[in-house]
Parts: sequence; C-alpha cells; structure tokens
Amino acid sequence: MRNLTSSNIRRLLKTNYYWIAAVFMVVTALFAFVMHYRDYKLADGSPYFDSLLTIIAPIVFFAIAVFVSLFVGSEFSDGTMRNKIIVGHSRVSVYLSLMLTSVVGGWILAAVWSVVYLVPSVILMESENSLIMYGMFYLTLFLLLAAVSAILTCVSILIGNKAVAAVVCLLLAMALMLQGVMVSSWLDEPESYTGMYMDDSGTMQIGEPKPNPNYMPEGSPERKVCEFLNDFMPGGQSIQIMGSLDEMARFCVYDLAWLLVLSTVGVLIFRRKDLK
Amino acid sequence: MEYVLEANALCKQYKHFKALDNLNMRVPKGAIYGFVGKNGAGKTTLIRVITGLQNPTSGEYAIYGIGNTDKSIAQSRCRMGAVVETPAVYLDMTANDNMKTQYRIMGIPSFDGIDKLLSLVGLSDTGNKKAKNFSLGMKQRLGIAVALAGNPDFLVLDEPMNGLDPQGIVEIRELILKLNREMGITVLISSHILDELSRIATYYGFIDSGHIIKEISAEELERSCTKKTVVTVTDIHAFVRALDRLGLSYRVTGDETVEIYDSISVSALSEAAKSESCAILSLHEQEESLESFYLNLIGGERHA
Repeated sequence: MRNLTSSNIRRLLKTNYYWIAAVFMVVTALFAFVMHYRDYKLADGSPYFDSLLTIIAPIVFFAIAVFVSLFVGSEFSDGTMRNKIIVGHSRVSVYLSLMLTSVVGGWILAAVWSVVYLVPSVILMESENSLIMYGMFYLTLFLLLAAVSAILTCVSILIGNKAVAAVVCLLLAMALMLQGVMVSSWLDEPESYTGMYMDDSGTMQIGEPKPNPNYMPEGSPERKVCEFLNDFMPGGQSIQIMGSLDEMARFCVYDLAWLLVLSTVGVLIFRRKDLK
Repeated sequence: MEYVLEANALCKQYKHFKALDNLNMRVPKGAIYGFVGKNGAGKTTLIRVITGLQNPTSGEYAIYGIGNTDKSIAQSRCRMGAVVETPAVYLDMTANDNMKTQYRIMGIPSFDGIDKLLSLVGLSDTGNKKAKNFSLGMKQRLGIAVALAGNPDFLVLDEPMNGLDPQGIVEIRELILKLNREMGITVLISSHILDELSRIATYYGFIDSGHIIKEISAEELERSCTKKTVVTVTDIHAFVRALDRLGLSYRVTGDETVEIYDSISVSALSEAAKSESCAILSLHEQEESLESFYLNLIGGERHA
C-alpha cells in the first residue's frame, strides 16, 4: 500500500487541477486576510484574526470535491486502476491508498490556506485564542477534512465515472454545507420573537413577545436530533469548528467514526465491484 | 506440458446473462495463445476474470499453478502483465512518467529498465509529449511497455490490433513475436483479425457462448485444415465424368468450377479431361484458412 500511496501522491502533485486548487487556496486566503484587515483598520472591526480562520473548512471542502473526483475518476477513465489490480495489489490496498491520497491532498491544501492567511495575520493582527486551542482546532480541522475526503473518495470510487463523479461530489459538498447551515439556523431560532408596530401617533412600539413556533425547546427530542446532526455531520462541524475544547474533542471522535465506517463500507463494496 | 494458465469450469454471470459458461482452458508455457471468438463470446470477460478485475461466479483458475482463491495468487500476478481493451496509461503524463509511475506501483526501486522497455516498444524518442497526444498505435505500445514493467513471464493482450493502421498492426505483431521468441514470454492474445492472428499464434483457443469449443496447436490446425484444388473447366459434365473415372473426391461449386479434395497429378487430370473433350481453364490449390476453420467450428457447434 505504501508503493501505491507514494505513487498516487506523486501523480496528484503533477496534475493541473490540483495546482489550480492550490492557487484557489492562495487567492481565497489572501482575499480573506485583506478583507479582514481592511475591515479592522478602516471600519474599526475586530482586531482578532481567529474569527475568519474558520472559513477554511468550507473552502477546502469544495477544493477536495473537485480534485478527489477528478483524481479518482481518471483512474477509471484512463483505465489505470487495472494496472494496479493486474500486478497483484489487493482491492483493499487500492481503495485505502486512494483514500489516503485524497486525505493528504486535502491536508496540503488546508496547510497552504493556513500559511497564506496566518503569516500576515500574525504579524499585523491579534489572536484571541491560546496555542492549545489552535492545536485542537487544527487537529479537528484535519480530521474533519479527512472525513470529507473519505466520503468523496468513497462516492467517486463507487460511481467509477470521472464526469459523473465530479458533478456528484460538487453537489454533495454543497449539500453537506447546506445541511450544516440549515440545521444551525434551526437550532439558533429564538424562543420567542418580538414584533414592532407603529402606534396611532406614528411612533414605533415594541410589541408583546410571542412564542416562536419554530423554536425547539432545550432537551426536546427534535432538538437533540438536530444537535447531534449538527455535531456529527461535516457541514455542521465546519460551521462550529472553533468551539470549546470539549466540542472539538467530540467532533474528532465523530470524524474518526466517519473514517472507520467509510473505509469499511467502501472496501466491502469495492471488493465486490466488477472493474472494466 | 506446463501450463501458465488453467481454467476449470469457470462461470461468470451478469444478472441473467452468462458471459462465461463452464469454461475450461489451458495456456501452455511459451506459447502465443490466439484466443478467437466473435463479439460477446466471452473473450474480454475471461481476460477480466483472470487478471483479477472481476471475480468468477463459480469455477476456478490457476496462474502458474496457484489457484485464484489462494492468497499467494498476488505473487503469480506479479509475473503477469496485461492490456485489457484500451491501453491503461495516464493520458496527462509522458511515456517516461507513465513508466515511472508503474515502477513505483510495483515497488521497483530503480528506473534503469525504463529506457530499454521504451526502446523495445519504439517509444524512446517521445520526449515530453504527453500520452494524450500519442497515436492509437503509440498508446497501445505504451500500454504494452507498462504491462512489461517488472519483467512478466505472461502477457495478456486483449484485441491489441483493434483500430490500428496496417503499419501499427505490423509493429505490434513484430513486438509480440520478439517478446515471445527473444524474451520467452507466454502471450495470450485475443483478436478479431484472424489472418493476423494466424501469423503469430502457436496455439489456439476458440470460444463461443462463454465456453471453449476447441483448443488446438498451430501444427494440429494446419494438419486438420483441408487442402483443395479449385478447377475451372469448359464443360462441367464432361469433367465430372473424368473425375469419376479417376476416382477422386470432389464437389461441384459452380457451372464451371469444381473443388477436388484428393491430391492430384495435374498431367493425369489434364489428360482425363482432354479424353472427355473438356479443357481446363484454370487450376489452383487452396488451403482452408483459420477463418474458415473457425466458421466451420462455430457452425458445427451450433448445429451439433
């Protein structure tokens, strides 16, 4: 498997689309820094760079969706996966090496984004978190990206068609993000809302608070389900990634579960798949 | 006889379609095994199964005596190279990079053999040209070079001449002969181009409806192929009387043509015809081709 992984990584680093993804990382990281710095200097915004660091997850999600689907898809479209099986590599090795390559590829992109964003930020702005928090944040981020890479690798291998895999992976990345945003917004619904109205004299008045029908009470089963989904699903994690140490530890456990389940299920299905 | 590949009662079923049906096959070591069958007969399915791309539904096969269910089959596969359907090469890489990638996949630490292999297949001067810009023949040769990484003893080629121009066909043919004769590689080659196959194969396996209907060596095939003499004459009735008088086995195939299946003396035949007031207009010997042998075999099997 070491031979396969090393060969895959070398090949990945030679592809145009991976370099395009890397450039995309550099551009978005620079853009994020410049916008944040400008806001801080001109509009009296937050002097802390941490708040924008969390947008790294969704950005890398989409980059992973693109390069994983094309990388894995070309193994099928060029027929080169056959060369690995024919010379005696097991399907387990082939599957896991592709997954590992995708994970490493995602990590490299995240590292590129972080370096480009953090170097000027550390010099010109301030941080509000401790080194332990950063360490935990990056551990959680890298495990989350590994989970997402595993999902997209599994989907790409099982589809086995480059074009279809590219479309499905992009849609899946969007769906994961959308799911995270939606569940977060449901959980953020206020218990009650207060309407405004204009009285006879034409002045604005605050009305009586009314219970919000969309509010899920603390401890209710539906809230528990949504909270679990928000913590368990990669989209939800990406939104709340810079949480407390406890939350991040929980995310790490969920991400490891994703990796374990997807490796097992993917291998089991791939072992039975007829290759052409 | 030592066999590189043995298949016993091999079956492969896709839903309700039986692509391989109780197939038995033996590929002798050192042979160029011509695998003949029409489209959908099961050639590519068999190749996919023996190369490990697909699992058989039932039955078994052995490569170098190691069965497909044996865990050490991976070691046997290291001695095998294959080009299945289309050449499996990375299109966005050069020939050299493709070879290096395959060497890495196989864990071969040194790239020393790459130049020799590329030279063997005639791709030593492709430089930085990417495989996507290669002609089909060049891709096919690169596919073979990739399959030859790791010095396999057994090479499986699925329709390697498909879509090639005449020069490409000659190049592939010469390459296969070179690999077999100079490097001692056993080759299993499936092809529709029977005339081309008949120039290189030393052993044949004929497949129809998912099972092998005959395996035969090239020598046996040559011996079993009927030779005949086709004669065109001025008066067919008079000539038939002459043939009957000579006691030859024959078949009238047209108003002026007769096929004679026995060996004949041309002067005796000419004299017999002349005595019946018939002139021989033309006479030539014809040997049954691989194609007609195959068609007779398939037809015979179907009507059996």
